[in-house]
Amino acid sequence: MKNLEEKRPSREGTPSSAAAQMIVIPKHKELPNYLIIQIRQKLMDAGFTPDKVFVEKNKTL
Amino acid sequence: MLSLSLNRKDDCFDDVFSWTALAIAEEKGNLGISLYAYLKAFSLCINTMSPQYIPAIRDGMNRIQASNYEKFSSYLSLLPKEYVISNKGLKLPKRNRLTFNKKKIQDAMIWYLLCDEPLKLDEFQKEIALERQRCSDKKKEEKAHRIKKMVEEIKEMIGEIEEKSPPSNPIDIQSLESSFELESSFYVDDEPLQTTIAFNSQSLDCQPTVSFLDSIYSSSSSTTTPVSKSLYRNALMQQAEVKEKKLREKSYGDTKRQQEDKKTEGKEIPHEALEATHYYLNKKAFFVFQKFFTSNESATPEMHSYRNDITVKKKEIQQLLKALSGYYGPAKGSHEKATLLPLKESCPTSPTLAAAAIQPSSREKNRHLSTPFRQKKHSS
Repeated sequence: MKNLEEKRPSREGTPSSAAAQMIVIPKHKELPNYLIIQIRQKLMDAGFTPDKVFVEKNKTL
Repeated sequence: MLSLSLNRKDDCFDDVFSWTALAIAEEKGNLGISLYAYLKAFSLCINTMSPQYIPAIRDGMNRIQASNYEKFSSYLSLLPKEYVISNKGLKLPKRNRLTFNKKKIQDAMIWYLLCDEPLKLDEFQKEIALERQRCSDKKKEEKAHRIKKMVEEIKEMIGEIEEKSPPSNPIDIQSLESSFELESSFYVDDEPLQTTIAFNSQSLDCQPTVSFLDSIYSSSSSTTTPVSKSLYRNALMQQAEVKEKKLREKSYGDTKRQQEDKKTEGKEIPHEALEATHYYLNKKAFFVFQKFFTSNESATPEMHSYRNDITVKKKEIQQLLKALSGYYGPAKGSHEKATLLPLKESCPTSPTLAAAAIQPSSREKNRHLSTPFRQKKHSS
């Protein structure tokens, strides 16, 4: 199971830190609305707001 | 038959030769048609100011006049009303004889045709040439005036561009002005133009565009042309860039992002600093990320939380979370879970969105309860 996990270099602390956000994706092909809202909130809590997340450099739209 | 032939409107010929040919053919048969044809040929001569055909027309009309003078005088009424025709001949209208113009040439042609005076072709042709030259001079003056106007318009355009975005290489307007003045000064004077200027008449009818300017500069022989031409093109390019920037601002209207872009333009951002404040995603992941933060303007604030206009597929959210999360992998059953690690400087959440997420409506609460995939089960 651990081999399947894709690990990235951690930016701060460990996954068990208080600010880490756990997101569970259900088996449905399309996410239900309430999950979309939850994920959005978790993204914002983790700091991934539209003013901080951009397209990769040199690949601008 | 005679009246019909004179009053017919469908004049099928439009040249002197055909009308004279018709007149000669009808001399032996229908005298009225012959006279009508002669007069038509004569009027064409007047309109085109080509007196060389008048002797032949005059001979023919004299032949008819000898046979039937009354009819001849009545047919002369076809001429314009300002010419008073009597038995003695043609009386020209009173006007200022000092100025020689087209009308005077026409009057003289009629006079020579209908009276006994011999036709002086050389004098006619000289006068006509002079008249034509004057007409062309007037046209050239008008064209020069038009060019001046166009130059002023272009100057205004360049001024506007400079005001909007001060360029790195400022446009030398003085050099432009001097170049245009060099060209335009030729046409201001009242001196005869044809000897001094080789004028490119094709360029005059064009609109004030780049091609127009190119044609002007190519025709002129001033030394400043290459500089002003490139400057004008640069100005156009800058205007286009400003427009593109405005469009980008509208579509991705984030002022902070623009400021950051301006700061970091042309420089490589250090990896640590990038991680601290910003996060860069690939295109597909970014599009998915945008879906979560698109606002439905038509919806009321209460309905904002439902967001029925958004559909996020499982594959898409997988892509996004893989790009964002530090950990991603399978969970219980066919579910998958991801752990989002926070950015170092997490910004405060927007109040409206946070309120919508924290205080969901009763319908959404029911959904939470009804669905088996509640967060409590999986969160540890």
